Amino acid sequence: MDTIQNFDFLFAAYTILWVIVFGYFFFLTRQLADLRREVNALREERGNDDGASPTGPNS
Amino acid sequence: MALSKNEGGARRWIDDVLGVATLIGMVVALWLIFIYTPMELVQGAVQKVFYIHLASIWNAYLGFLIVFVVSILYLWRPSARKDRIARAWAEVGVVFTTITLVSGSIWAKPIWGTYWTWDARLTSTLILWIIYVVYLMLRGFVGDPERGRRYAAIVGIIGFIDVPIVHMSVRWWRTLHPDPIVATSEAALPASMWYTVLYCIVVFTVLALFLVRQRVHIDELRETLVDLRTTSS
Repeated sequence: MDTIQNFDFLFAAYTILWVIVFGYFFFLTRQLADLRREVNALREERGNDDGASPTGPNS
Repeated sequence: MALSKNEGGARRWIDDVLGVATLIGMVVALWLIFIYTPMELVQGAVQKVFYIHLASIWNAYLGFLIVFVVSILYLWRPSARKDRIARAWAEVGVVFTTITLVSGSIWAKPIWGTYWTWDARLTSTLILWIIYVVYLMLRGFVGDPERGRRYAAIVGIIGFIDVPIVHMSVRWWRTLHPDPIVATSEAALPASMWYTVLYCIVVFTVLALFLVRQRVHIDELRETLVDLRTTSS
């Protein structure tokens, strides 16, 4: 059995491990960031709506 | 379920701790695998795939066991929280099963001379992967969300039957795959390899926990978003 050649397979296995783990992690992180941004934007929007006078500031 | 800002702060702190622990744990795991453990005489360097291969399948088993238990609880008393937990563990379980299948195939090539063979262990593991991919896709196929969650819980319970089949396949059938070496009374591994594989299982479990928390949080935020849109419209 060629031990040196086996290093290629070892390298491939660990590379794929990191690609899958980090790929999944970044997929989750991106989704989380997008959702947080949307939730915060809606909360701010609602906060502004709650604080505003129903008939406007000049009435 | 709407999330308060305080809940978000505490959650982020726990996530940060888990994330840092995973990162440090992974660096130590790599040191143990590549420096601490000896080179296996027969297989050479590729034997070091063993540590990630075993830690991955143990975490897949753990994930699917949690899906099984939580699905039973869901059918008993349905709640969105139980469904979120089951779905998150199923997804992370699929990720670890993917790592198991891919790392196993790469390990098999120089040792068995082929990336894949339709023997009992490999085939039952592939079936396990397909079952939980179907579990994750099921909700999308069923129009009514409540019914989709219920069907998914049933698949989560029935699908778990394959886990003991995967584990026992090497004893029940003649396969190329070696017998289990961790859950046996015989000392099949030198101490350094034993400690390393146990350590990798622990680190991968922390990683799984970290990923599951992120996945659960995504579903919670989606529900918060729906709540906010409903109340503001």
